[in-house]
Amino acid sequence: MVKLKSNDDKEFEVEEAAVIQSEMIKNMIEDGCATSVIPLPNIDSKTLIKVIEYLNKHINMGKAAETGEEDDLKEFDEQFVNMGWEELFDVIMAANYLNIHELMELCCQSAADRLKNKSVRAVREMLKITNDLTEEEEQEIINDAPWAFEGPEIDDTVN
Amino acid sequence: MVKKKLAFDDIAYTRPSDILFLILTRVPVKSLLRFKSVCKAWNVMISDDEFRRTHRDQCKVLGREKLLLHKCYSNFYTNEFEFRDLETSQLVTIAKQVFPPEKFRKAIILCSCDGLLLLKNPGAYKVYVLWNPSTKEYQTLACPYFNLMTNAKFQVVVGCVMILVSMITSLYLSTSGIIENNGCWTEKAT
Repeated sequence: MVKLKSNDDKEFEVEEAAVIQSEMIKNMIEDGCATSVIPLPNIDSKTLIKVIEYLNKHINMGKAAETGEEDDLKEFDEQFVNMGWEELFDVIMAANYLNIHELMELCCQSAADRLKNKSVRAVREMLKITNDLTEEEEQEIINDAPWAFEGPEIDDTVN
Repeated sequence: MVKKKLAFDDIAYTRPSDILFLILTRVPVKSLLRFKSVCKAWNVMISDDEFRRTHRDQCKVLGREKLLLHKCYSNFYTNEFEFRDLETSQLVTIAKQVFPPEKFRKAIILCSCDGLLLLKNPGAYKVYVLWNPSTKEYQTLACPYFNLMTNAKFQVVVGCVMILVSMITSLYLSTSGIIENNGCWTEKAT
C-alpha cells in the first residue's frame, strides 16, 4: 500500500498496482522515494478522492479487456466525467501533475466535447470569462469567418 | 527540507491557461474560429502558431485526417468539392464546399498535406492556389521561376510543387505564411 497526503492534510491508502498508473508516483517508487507518506501539495482531498476512484476502477484494465468488461469501464468513464467545470478542471490539474495519461485524455476530451458546439455567449458564462475585446476587435473576428458563427449545431444554453 | 519542497512545487506548477490549451486543442476548427471572440486571451492563444501545431498533431492522433476529398462529378465544371469520411462509410458525404475564386473554376487538386490543398487550373502553369478547407482560407501563389523551354516546363512545375509541399509541412495549418520574395517562395518572417 502507498500513502498519499492531500494539501488539506488528509491521508489516503492506495494499492501500489493502482497508484503506479501515475507516472510521477511510479518513478518515485522506483527511485525509493515513496517509503513513507507522499505529500501532494497542490491536490485537495475532494479531487484526490475522485482520482483514486478512477485509479481503483482502472487497475484491472488489462483484465477487463480479457473478460469483456470494457463496456463497464466505458460506462464508468462516462459517469466519472459527469461533474461541474471547476471540479473537472481540478481533476485535469491533478491528472497532469500526477502524470496519469489516460485520465488526462478522458477529462480533456470531455471538456472539449462539452464546449465545441457552444455559442460564444454560452462559453463566457460557463467558464465565467469577462469579454475584454473591444466591439471593433470582436466584429473583426466575426468578419474573418462569419460562417463559424452560424449553423444548426450552435447551442446557446449553459450546462 | 523546506527548500527542497519549494523546488518540487515549482516544477509541478501548472497554470489554468495550460489546461485550457490542452482542452482547446481537442476542439474542432469551426468552434475555434468562433471562440477567438470569447476574450483577448483566447484570441491570442488560438491564433498562435504553437497552438496550431499542437492542434494539427492532436487531430492526427485522433485520426481525424481520414477524409477522402474529390471534385463532385455530377457538376464537373463548378469548383465544388466533397469530403467523405473513410472511417464510417465511403458513401457518406460529410461536407460539400465550394472553392471561392471564379478564376479557379476548373481547378484540379495537385496534392494535399495536413489538410491543406494545392490547386491549379489545368491551363495555367504559373498560378497555384493553396487552400485550407477547414478554415476556408486560401492564398494564390505565382510560380516564381518559370522556364520557357516547353519540355522543361513540367519538371519546373513538379519542382515547385515539391518545394511548396515541404514548406506547407513546416508551416502547419496556415496558408498565410508563404510569400513570394525575390523570385522564390519563402516563409514570411514573423
